[in-house]
Amino acid sequence: MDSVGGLIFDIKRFAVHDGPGIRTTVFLKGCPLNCWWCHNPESIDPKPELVLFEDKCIGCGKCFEVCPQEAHEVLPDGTRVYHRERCVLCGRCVEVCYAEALVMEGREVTVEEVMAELRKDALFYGSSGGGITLSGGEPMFQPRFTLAILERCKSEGFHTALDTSGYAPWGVYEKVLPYVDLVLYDLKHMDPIAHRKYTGVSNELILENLVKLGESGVPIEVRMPIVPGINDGKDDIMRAAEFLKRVKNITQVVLLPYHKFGEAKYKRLGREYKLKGLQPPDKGRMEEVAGWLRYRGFEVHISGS
Amino acid sequence: MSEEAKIELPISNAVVSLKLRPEIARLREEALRRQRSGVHGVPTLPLIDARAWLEHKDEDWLIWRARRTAERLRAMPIELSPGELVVGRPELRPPTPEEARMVEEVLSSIPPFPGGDAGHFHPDYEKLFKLGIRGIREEIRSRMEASTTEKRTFYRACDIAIGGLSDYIRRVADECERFAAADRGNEARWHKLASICRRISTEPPSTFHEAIELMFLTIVALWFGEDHHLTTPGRMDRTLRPFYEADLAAGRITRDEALELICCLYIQLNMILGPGSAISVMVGGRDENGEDVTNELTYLCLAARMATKLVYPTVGLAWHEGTPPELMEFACRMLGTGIGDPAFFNDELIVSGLRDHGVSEEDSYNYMNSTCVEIKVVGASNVWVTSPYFNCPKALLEIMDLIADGKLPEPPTFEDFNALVKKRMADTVRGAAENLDRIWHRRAETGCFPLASCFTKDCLERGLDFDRGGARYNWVENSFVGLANLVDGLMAIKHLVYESKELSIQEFRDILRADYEGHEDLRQRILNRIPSYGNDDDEADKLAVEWAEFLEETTESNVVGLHRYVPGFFCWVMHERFGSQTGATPDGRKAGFPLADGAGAAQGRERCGPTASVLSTTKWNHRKAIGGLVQNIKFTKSFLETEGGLKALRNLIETYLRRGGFEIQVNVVSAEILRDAQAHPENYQDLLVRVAGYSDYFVRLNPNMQAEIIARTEHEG
Repeated sequence: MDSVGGLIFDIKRFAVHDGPGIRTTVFLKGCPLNCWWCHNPESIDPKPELVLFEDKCIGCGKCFEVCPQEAHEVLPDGTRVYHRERCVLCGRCVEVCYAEALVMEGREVTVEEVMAELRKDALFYGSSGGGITLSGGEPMFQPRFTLAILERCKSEGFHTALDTSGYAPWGVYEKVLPYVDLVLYDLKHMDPIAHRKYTGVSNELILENLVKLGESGVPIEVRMPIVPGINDGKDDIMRAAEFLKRVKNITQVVLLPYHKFGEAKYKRLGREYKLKGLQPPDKGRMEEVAGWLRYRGFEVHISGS
Repeated sequence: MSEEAKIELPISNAVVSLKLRPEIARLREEALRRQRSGVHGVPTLPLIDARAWLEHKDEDWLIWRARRTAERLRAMPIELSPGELVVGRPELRPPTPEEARMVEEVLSSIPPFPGGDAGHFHPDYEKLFKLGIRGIREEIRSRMEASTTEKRTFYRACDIAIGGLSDYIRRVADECERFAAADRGNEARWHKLASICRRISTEPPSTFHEAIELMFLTIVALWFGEDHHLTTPGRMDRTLRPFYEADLAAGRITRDEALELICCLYIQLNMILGPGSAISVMVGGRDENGEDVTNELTYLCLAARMATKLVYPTVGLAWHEGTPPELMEFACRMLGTGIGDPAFFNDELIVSGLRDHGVSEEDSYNYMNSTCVEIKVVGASNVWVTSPYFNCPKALLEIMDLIADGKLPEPPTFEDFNALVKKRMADTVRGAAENLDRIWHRRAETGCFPLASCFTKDCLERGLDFDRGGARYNWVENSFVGLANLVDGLMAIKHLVYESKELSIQEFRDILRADYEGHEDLRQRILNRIPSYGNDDDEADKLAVEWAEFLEETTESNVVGLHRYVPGFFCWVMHERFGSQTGATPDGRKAGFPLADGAGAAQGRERCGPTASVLSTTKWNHRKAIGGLVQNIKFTKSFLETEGGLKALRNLIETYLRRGGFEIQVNVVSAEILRDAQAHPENYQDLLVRVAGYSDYFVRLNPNMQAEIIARTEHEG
């Protein structure tokens, strides 16, 4: 089992918004969805990606020296260019970039390496009612790796949370569920056509899985990104409420107000940001949305408050 | 705070208002104004001293010292302000040019004070409140009658000095009567204040108002009458508790009135103490039987800090396993408002640490952070603090220079190099200890404090002055600044000079002399690729443990005065001052940047978050560090506005303390706010940040320190 490895892009200690207590969150890389508002665009592609933080570059030129592909270039006007198409992701430039302007998003790790990191804050999990969270990307996109970590965590007594989009075959969920204490389940849009437009996939499997998950008895925290003009209409929310009424074991609904902190990342990854100029919902709007759900009997929490 | 102008007190569930009445709010504004424009001294004190010296220099040394104090207290001008409920500060102003000239002249006529620390003082309020000035004078007189000639002189000095305090309080009463005539409509209040002062000028206080008034006037007398700067209110939730509870039970006071009086005391402290200093209140902890002391006054002392939101005093909370959860929750919510208080002190660790120094079980529970985090036993200590501050990375740079200049051979191994730096540091510490010891002995001759002797346990019992072995506890505490810079610098040398052998010591030294100019890649590599202290990294932390324990042992191997030298690890503002004087260091720190601001990771070096930082700092034993140490953690306000964030904060604090951490404090700000405050200081005059064991107004910090605080804030993400 320990030979199972996976691709992650971050492990974050002292995570306090990914489930109860003080947690360590493992971010797995690779996601079948491609949501317009995704604030972790580096999590989507299921292979490593090289990212350039221009503001950190000190112009030492080491990356030019080591790059066999001539992927790094400075134009006569001083503009720093990274030719993504030439790059073969050998990582030599990252190794010599001491200023950490060049970062490889995504690294292959073994379960044991992840566990060593997760054990570091074990003292805090116990006393704060925290534990570990697998997030992403989509953890169920790497089901064997996810299962292996969850199994090990349970055997070491850690509380486990799985943060998922719901877009994976039910059989995969069935396998990991015995090792999951809490599911953080995303609900992005009720309309299948809109869902496909904004996330790249339809929502049928997601809704089906959520109902089944409810039946399984595991506590579920439903997480709804609230993106103005896309899924925050009263109709959208009421449809969601209607549906959620049929799902068992929902402990609470957490609303995640859209924010723009991910925007800069798109540029660094050489991708287009489709929500340019969209303003985050204000506090009043979030309260209004929360009110609709509360009216239907849900315990609602607005993230960040 | 406006939206939270009311607050519920956990024990009684009573609600008090944090909104100051307009009269008190005006006093607060005045204190803020004075903080901005500068708080001065009493320019006439040296002139009074000179006169006292001329008149009494032929008498015994102790008698002259007492006369000096008494005459200061008889002549010091008093300033009252409309609306005040706690009264009697001296009038503070800059000297006129004429006065400045005269002061210079007269100062040379008086024998100079030998030095050492006499401030950061804690009087024995409990005894004062129990006996009153009259009771203490009776004790002095009856001991005088029963004693030998030499001791009689000491008692006579004490009687003269405390007589001065009594006179000062009567003068405050007279001033109140006079003010009553001028402050139409408020005559009754001034008459009441006059009668309070009149009474406590001799009698023990009988109400909460009388007790807090006597507390303030005693602070003023010790501070301005006998140069015990930063005399503190101390453990207010113990000393004032009997008065508060009796008044409340008898219906003589409401909770809001008690809170207002505490606010008035806090405001007064801001009127008499200029910026960049510290003065402390401590709440919580355990009584002499080891029982938790938390009571309603504990909460009111904290609430008054929220209501006044001024720079002084800082309120510390003594935490132990029996601290009520609701007090911890109250404290964390208070942190969430951005005030930076309370700091949490580890009661269990400090109590055991004090007992290691021979403090009795009963006394060990009754300690204070004397201003920042340095510990003294309340009302029983002649303990000098932060004597001196040591610049840790300086020793490392000096050794590098000696090697680079060929005055020392390049050590063959890292262990040899490390040993050289240790020896250098040990020599510096020994030199300081010897110097302090000389001062300690000189103080017994030409120091001495008859008024402090009245309020320090065992001076009267032994018939000996505070400076002549009268105090129950006598020791000197030092403070090591920049432990993290030293350790991280040694790590860089270990890796670059001794492991990869890329640089010689001389080459490295030359790069430092050039402030890393042309070597930014090396600097970035040191910052980002070489393990550093504070990240739960065993290699770096092991070196930190080795060094911290070495510094503790090397301190304790020296004796100063009557006791072993006692170590500490905090910096007040010295990390900035030393930093500005210290060239680039091998940890990647550029010349002039502040040194590490606490006993944990250096600024911006925590790459693994606060849990890792807390785990690192608690890998070494803090029990010996009675001189104090600080663990800083910094959060944005937005983080602490979430329930999850608040709970996590509390768990982090408690885990740190359970692991034997000495003290932990929280800075709550956002980088945007700080940057805006830099650009528009006028909008942020009362923005408080915790600097290092103390808080200050952000806009008044110099640009270097502002940049440093912003760097800390950025880092939290």
